[in-house]
Amino acid sequence: MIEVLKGGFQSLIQDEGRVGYRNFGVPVSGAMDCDALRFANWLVGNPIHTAVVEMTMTGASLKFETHTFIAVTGAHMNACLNGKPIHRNETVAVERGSILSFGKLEEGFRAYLAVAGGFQIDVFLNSMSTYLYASIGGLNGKSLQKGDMLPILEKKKMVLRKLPDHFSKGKVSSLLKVRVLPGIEYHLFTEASRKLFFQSEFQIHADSNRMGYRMSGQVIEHSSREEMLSSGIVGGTIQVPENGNPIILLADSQTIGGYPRIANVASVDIPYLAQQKPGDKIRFQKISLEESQALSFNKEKKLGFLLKECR
Amino acid sequence: MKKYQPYGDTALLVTFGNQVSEGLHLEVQFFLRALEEKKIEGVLECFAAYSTVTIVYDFLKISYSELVSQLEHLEVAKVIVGAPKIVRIPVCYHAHFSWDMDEVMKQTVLTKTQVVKLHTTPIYLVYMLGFTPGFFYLGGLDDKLRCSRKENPRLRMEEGAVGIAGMQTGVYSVSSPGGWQIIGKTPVSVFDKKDQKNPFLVKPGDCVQFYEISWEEYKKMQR
Repeated sequence: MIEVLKGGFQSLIQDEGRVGYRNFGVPVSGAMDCDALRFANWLVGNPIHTAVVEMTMTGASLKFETHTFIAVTGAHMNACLNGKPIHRNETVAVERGSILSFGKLEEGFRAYLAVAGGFQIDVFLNSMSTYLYASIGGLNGKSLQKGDMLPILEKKKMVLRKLPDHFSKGKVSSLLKVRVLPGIEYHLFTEASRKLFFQSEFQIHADSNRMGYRMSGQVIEHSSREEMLSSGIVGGTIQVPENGNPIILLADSQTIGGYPRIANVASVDIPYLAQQKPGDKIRFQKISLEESQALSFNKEKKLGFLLKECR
Repeated sequence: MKKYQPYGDTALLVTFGNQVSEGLHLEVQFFLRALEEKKIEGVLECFAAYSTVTIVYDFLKISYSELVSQLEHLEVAKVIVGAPKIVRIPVCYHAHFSWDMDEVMKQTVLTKTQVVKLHTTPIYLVYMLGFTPGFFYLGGLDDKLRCSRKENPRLRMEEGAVGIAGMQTGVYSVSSPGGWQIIGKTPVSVFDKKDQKNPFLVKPGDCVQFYEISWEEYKKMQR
C-alpha cells in the first residue's frame, strides 16, 4: 500500500491507454511520454505496459507501507527517498515506511514512477489510465489526492537494473525540433501559411494540457473557407482552428474534430514533446511517411531488449 | 470514390465523401463492418465519423501500401442485417431542466408543447460517437427546431442535459462545457461508468427516439 501525503500539481495513474473504444468516443489517454513509461517498467521488471504514476510539473509525496522496488524516469524533479537524493533511471529499493518526495523541476515536464508489481486498482475498458474529463480510470477517475491509499501488488522476483546512458534523453533543449508529416487537409492551407508553419518558431501556450498543446506564434491561415466535416482524430494531429493558432492534439484529445489538420507529429517525437512545458519553443520540420516510419523502426529495434526482458 | 490517405505514421484515413447523408453513413458502416470481420493483421483500431473511417495500424506488422492494397480488395457487403435498434430515451422537459426553453421558443416561434412534440416525433439516426465518451451525433432534427448555439457556452453542462443547436440534438454524456440550448434532461445514463462491460447506451447506426416524462417519473427513474 502507498499512502499519498501530497498529490503534486497533477499526478495520474497511466498505462499505454485505452485502445479500441474510439468508435464510442472514448479517448486513448495513457502516458504522454510512452518511452518513460516503458523504461520505468523495465527497471522494476514489470510487463512493459503496466500502469505507472505520471507526475506533471511537480512531484507527489508518497509513503510506502510495504518493502518494494521503484524506478523514476522522465523529467528531472530531484527525487528523494527519506530526504536523500535518488538516481533517475535505475531501480531503487524502498524500505517499509519510506517517503518518496520530489523537489524542484530541473528538466523536462513529466516524471514517471513505476512500482514493482504495479497497482491493484480497477481496470475500465481494458485500461487503468485516468481520463479526468470523464472521471474514468485511475483512483476514482481523479488525480492523486492527499490521503488516498494506493494498493500495490506484491512481486516475488525483484530485479536491479540501470537504464543504459544512451537511452536517457539527455539535456532537453528549450527549442525542440518536432518532425511532422503533412496532414489530411494540408492542401487547404495557403502556400504562405505552409511556409510560415515550417519556418517560424512557436511557443507552447500556458493553456496546454494532456488534451493538447496550444501554440502561439505566427497565425496560420487556411486558403479556403470550405466547411470541413468532423472526422477522426489520432494522437499527434495538429489542427488549426479559425484563430490560426495550431493545436497539437495529444493523449486525452477528443476522438472527433472539425478543424483542418495541417500536419501530424512523427511518433518518435511525441515523447520529447511530452517533456516540453508551457513557454518552451518548438519548430516544425517536414519529413515523409517513409522517413518517419524508419525512425520508429530503428527506435523499436534499439528497444528490443526491453520487450524481451519484460513479460 | 473512396480516397485513402496516410494520417500520421500510425493511421490511414478513408474518405467516402464530404457531406452528412444517410447514404454515406451506410457506406461508412458497411465498410467498417467488413473491416472488422476481415481482421487484417496489424490493424489495431478502426473508428467512424460522418464520412470517414480512421484506421490505426502497426506498421511493424503491415506497411501502408500493403494496407491500402488489402482495403482495395476488401469485399463490402452492402446489406443491412436486421432492423436497426431503436433506443428510446426518456426526457423530462420540466422548467427545472429546460434552462433555454424560453430562448428556443423565441427563436423558433413555437410554444413549449410544439417544441416537445417536434423533438419527440422523429426517429433520429446515430451518425457517430465522439466529443465525450458515449456522446452521439444525431441526424434528423426537424427544421422548425433549428436555432443558434448559445452566445456564451456554459462551462459546465450536467450529464444527461438534452440540447439542440443548428441541425443537431443530443445528450451530454458527461459533465462538460457546452454551447447547446438546453431543453430538458434524461434520467438515464448515456455513458454508464458503473457498467464495466458495455457503458454505452447506443452505437453508431442505432436509432434514437425521445419520449416525454413528467417530473415525478424523472424522480422515479433516477438511480
